Amino acid sequence: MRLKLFLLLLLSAAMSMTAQTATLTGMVVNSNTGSPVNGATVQLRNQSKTADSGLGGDFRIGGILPGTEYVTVTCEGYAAAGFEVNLLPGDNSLGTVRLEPQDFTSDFYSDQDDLVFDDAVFDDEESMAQSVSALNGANDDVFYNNASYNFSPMYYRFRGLDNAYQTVYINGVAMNDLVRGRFNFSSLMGMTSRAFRNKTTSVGLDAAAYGFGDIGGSVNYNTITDTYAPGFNGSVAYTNSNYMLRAMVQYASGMNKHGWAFTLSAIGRYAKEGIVEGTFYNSGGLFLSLEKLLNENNSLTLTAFGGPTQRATGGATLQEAYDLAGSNLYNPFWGYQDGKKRSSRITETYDPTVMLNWLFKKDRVQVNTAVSARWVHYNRSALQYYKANDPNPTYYRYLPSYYEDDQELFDLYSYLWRNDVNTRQIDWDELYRINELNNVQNETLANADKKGSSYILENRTNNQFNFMLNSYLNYNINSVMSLQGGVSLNYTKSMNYKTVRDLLGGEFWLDIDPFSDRDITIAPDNLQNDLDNPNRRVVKGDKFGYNYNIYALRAEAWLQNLIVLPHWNFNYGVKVSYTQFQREGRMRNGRAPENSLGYGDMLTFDNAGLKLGATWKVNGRNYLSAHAEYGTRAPLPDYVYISPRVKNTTIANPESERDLALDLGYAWNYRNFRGSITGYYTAVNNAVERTGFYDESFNTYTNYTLSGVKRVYKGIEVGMEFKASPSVTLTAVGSFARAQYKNNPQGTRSFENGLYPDTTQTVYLKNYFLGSTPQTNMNVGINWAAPYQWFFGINGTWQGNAYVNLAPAYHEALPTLWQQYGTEQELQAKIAELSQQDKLKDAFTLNVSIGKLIYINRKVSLNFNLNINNILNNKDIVTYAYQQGRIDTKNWDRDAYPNRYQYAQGIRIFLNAGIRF
Amino acid sequence: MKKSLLYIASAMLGAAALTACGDDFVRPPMVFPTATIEANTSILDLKTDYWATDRNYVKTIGLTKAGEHTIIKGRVVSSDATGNIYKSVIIYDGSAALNLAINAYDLYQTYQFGQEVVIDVTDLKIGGYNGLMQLGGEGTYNNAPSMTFIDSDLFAEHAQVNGLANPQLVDTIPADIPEVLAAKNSTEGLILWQSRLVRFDNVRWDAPGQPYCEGTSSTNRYIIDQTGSQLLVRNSSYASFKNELLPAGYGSVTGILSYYGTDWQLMLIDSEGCQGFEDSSDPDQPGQPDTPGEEGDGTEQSPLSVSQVIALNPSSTTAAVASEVWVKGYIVGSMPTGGASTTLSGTTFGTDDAATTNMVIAAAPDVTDASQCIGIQLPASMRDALSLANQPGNLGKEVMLKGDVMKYCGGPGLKNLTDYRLDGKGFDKPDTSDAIFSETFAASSLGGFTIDNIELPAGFEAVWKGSANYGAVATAYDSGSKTDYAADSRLVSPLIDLGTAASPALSFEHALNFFADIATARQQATVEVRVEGGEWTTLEGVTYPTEMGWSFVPSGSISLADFAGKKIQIAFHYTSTAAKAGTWEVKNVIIK
Repeated sequence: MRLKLFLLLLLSAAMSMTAQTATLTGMVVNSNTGSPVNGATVQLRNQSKTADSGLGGDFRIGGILPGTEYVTVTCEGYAAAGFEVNLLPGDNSLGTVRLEPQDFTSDFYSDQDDLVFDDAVFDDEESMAQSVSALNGANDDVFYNNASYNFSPMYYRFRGLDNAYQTVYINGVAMNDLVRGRFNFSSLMGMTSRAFRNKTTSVGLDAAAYGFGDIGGSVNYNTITDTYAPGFNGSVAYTNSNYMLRAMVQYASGMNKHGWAFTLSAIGRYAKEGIVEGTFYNSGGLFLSLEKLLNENNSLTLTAFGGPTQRATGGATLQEAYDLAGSNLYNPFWGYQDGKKRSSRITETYDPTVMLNWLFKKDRVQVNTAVSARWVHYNRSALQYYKANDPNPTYYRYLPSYYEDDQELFDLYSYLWRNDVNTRQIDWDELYRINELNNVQNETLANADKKGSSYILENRTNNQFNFMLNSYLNYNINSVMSLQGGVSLNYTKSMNYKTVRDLLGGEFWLDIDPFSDRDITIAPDNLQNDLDNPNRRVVKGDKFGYNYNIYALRAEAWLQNLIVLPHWNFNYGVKVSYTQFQREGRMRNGRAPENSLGYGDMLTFDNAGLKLGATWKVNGRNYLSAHAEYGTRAPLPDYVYISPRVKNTTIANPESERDLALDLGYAWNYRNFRGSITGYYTAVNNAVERTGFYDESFNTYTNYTLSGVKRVYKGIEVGMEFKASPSVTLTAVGSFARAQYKNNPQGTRSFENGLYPDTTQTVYLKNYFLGSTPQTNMNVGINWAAPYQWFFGINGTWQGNAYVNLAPAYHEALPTLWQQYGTEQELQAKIAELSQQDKLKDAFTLNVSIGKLIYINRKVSLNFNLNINNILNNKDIVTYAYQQGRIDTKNWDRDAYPNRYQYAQGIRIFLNAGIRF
Repeated sequence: MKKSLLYIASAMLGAAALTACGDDFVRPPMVFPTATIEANTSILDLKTDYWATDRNYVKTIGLTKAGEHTIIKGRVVSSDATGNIYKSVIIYDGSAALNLAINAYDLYQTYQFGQEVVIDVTDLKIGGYNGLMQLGGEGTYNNAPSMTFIDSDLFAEHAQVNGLANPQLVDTIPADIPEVLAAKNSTEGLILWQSRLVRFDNVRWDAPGQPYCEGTSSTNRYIIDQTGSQLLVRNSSYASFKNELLPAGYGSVTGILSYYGTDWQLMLIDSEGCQGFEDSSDPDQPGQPDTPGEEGDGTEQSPLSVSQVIALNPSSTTAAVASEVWVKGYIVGSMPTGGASTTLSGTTFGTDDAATTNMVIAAAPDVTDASQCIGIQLPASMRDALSLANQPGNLGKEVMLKGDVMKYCGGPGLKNLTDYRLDGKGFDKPDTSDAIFSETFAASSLGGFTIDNIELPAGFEAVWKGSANYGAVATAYDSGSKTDYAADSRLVSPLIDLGTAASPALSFEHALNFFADIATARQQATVEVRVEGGEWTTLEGVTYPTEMGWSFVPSGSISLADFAGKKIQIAFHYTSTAAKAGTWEVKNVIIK
């Protein structure tokens, strides 16, 4: 029977062009979010003809006998819709069908997107830690939905993969930056639940209509104006996290009769002091989407957004410091100045973006063409010092542990740490006093002998300009086959330098490498950051230290074919790309006078990728699917240069990375019970990684680049949802994974102060775990959509098997270790001790949420949400940790440079009140 | 529904198979040192080929007869971990042992006891250092080439360690003292026995209950076998076991058989080299006899008499029963050093066979009974002035001596002299009559001298400082951190008007220690002169000590005739390097 139906469909598809029959097309979207609904069933009641909506929510039924028909559109999680239509011979359009989501849960959750992204904003130059991978969003996948919200405390990454393995699109334009590979979610300004609410998520290796995606999945934010539900909404929220208050407003006009539509959004976030002492948060953002419908087939949309953010942050530090300070939220980056708290680590971002999209829709063809420009501004401040004591309160000589052998000093420093805020925090007044003393001495000194600031606050700037062109097409060949394809171009100029932010009362800053000082008699040029302007005195705003640009360009084209049959779905696609980049040094560095100034070699890479997928729809309830992707990718400029702040030198033979990803899944969908189980295997070959750290033993910033790295990620993801009653839903999700290094790559160590030449050696990493992401995650929850639009939810998350990010220095063959561990047993034991990988503590959190929706009338509704995360107030959750990059080569004491940890806050409250009309 | 459960189960199994694994961390490999060169010459052959009878000489090692690089190997049989063995590694290959003099500390980590070392010795220096054959570097001594330490980096380029240390494979050669003493007499014996790790069984210490080393310089101890044959054991003041006490009774003593001048010196690697002795706790010390009160208290005003010293009955040759005391007596003779033994009972009264290194004093000038006398050990700095060999006219004169009361040459004696009074002159009292300028620095200050730093190590206030006992002392060694620093500093005299003196001359006394060697010391501790406002020039003709140590030697008379009638300044110019910073002590500066 089914086979006959299939033949009939094929036949009707073939006959669809004949004039005697009618064709019905349309698009199914989520009425709340405007995002396309994939997999909705469109059925003609009288003729038993059906079609499933595609990735773009689009559907088409051909070969219909003209006449009056009743069309039903059904989809799991949405209220069914039905229309009576009068079908004429030829093309008939149903337009946009808006399905009302029934799943209050996911709608409720989508309001919490911002919570996840707030946590995601994290960066620390000493670590490999990166923003969390964020594939959250309206998606039917039980696992992904729950994992996104509930696995965030320990920086869970989907399938263990870094953010750079996920492509983030805005209106089809890939927004990942070319230098670091990542998408910085903070550039969405916290508007993920409003202006960037409309999005399509492609999980894992699934095919998407807007782009080829990546092995970690992809998300496309849609800001085309007519997808916003017309009306006004506004909300005010209080939370006790990085910020305290948030206010958002949005108005969407809807299309007027002249074909104009606009959406305006604004957001403000503020904290005088965040949950972490000494931090603050000031952020405002504006968003505009303006559409002009030119005619039936063409529309133009201008999207512009941007919001300056200034915030002070904490960071990972030593357990000893947390213990002494009595809090795992201790923040060493602030101190008192004139009795007021001042932070030394202030991050300022402002990424204004404009984009113009031209949408062409006709019959079976949709083309979205975009041109976009983005200006990325990123500054982070830090204290710098020269011939003076380290201002960082956690410098090892200020910690009691340094005085372990001297009880008196140990007690003294312990006492000071506990009781003297100027020991525990930065003593700004002292820094100013010392700079002032220099000024006093200067009064009697000849100009040439004058002393500059001993301490300054510097800004480390990473700015970018991006220019992007993109066009993609979605062509429904017939009701079975569709074709997607696109071309894109991204030009990026990345500008990286330091500037003087504050001289802290001094007269100037001497632009030399403070840490090359010991070389002064041997190689005086080594001191100079800018050999062409030696011993330059810089003042506020001046660039100093380093200054380099990276020019990168990538051109890409992709094509895929989707085939939807009653029992099978197939997809296959191919991608080709060309990447080039080049470093331009703007200073002749004294440590590399020959290859620091001017352009380095242009590196070029040709890459390709292939993607296959198949789903067997065993019956209407059970699905088996398999996906495979193999491709190469250009290495990232941020990793290829072994010491980018100093010189043009790259790793030897930069080559493309080769990625293989496979998954195999089973999904079921019964009336009360649905879920999926997926096994995946991802192998990344020939990858490049770079970490940087400050090496106190050599007084230098040190870069450590790993090349030829093989990483394997494998695991099982399980998600289940059981409807105990129409209003009570039980969920259980879990992921059980291993993300490991699988070979012994080459490591290149480069000292920025040029004290020692760069060295390359094997790093023994095979089978060690990738840091930070917990390898075991479980969550169970109950949601109750109670009468009168009340919502109650409670869930518990257990996460474990997370590891400290390892430092390569502990995994080298150590050629002199035998000198202190002279027998084979001792040597073996010492190597085992040094190369051990530390595990993080397992964590359990319990979260509660309550929501209430009030309809004042048909148009106006109010909603209140209260989320209490970590209600048990567990303050012992390490979000991530890394081993310091340096090793004690004198005594081989593994604890000489202890791990640095960052902790999650305890109980976190989020209270939101919104209005919509 | 049942079917779907089956699907779930099979999917789970499949996924589990994907993630199942028992993969352990791959640890970094152990790195064992491995030599890539192979030995082709035995140490015995090498030593025989390059042996010379001179005490000090330097030869460059060439190719083998076959025209290949000369490569030796041996197992390390020494360790400088305790500091008793200094800047040296000794290797032994079964044929003979070789001392490798390397300019580095903590060699025991790089060249471990029991570890095999293969060395391409081609183009390296081999030779004698005061009779001991060693591989090292070339320096100068008394303007002649001499062996010194080889630069550690240069040595490392030539040497490869092979495998981990295996102390079990170290050969300790049993020996007895007469056999070893006899070996001195032949070239073959010297070649064979020098630097070997040897063990003497059934020997006793000469000073049980005393520490291995006393004071701030090395201490000579002896092991004595049951027949009375004795062998010198030299213990460094830098040895970590220096304060441990020598055990009593008979036992075995193991060490490196080193050589200095014409004598063996056994160098212990550590105090574990003493085995099988009785408990080394203090033997009962005889109570010190009360000092008869009528004669003196040991001060310069009230010196001890000779009979008081005899009554003190010193039993130790190294531990003083009275320290830094003044003793008064008459010079009656000396103990000849040419014979088989030098003992107080063998004193020659008068000036026959007069010794330069000792003298004998008594309560009266006419005493001829050795039991009424005490022996005086003369330091090099006083031999010119005091010894009967140099000053026969001193016989019968009254003398006052300041030193430590100890056993000396088998009887009561005075050692470690620091001062004397003879004919109104003394060590601390230079004859300053008719001096144009003089400065003793004895006031713990630099007097009128000033410091001119050309290079001053960080953290140092000054390289020079004044000291009551040692005059003006220069060093750029930080004893706190045990670090040598590079320094360059002049100690500059005030402006001195030489006036009408026709042939003015400079003299002073000085001691040099801890320089790389004495030849280096001569270059790093120089005396300079300049006329007012002029350039510094180095003064020639300064007498330096022949060996490093704390003994002051007179500089001799350095002519300043060229500057007669002018206003001049003199300077003591001290330099050091981060590799080695010596100590220079200068006092009793006189111009007349």
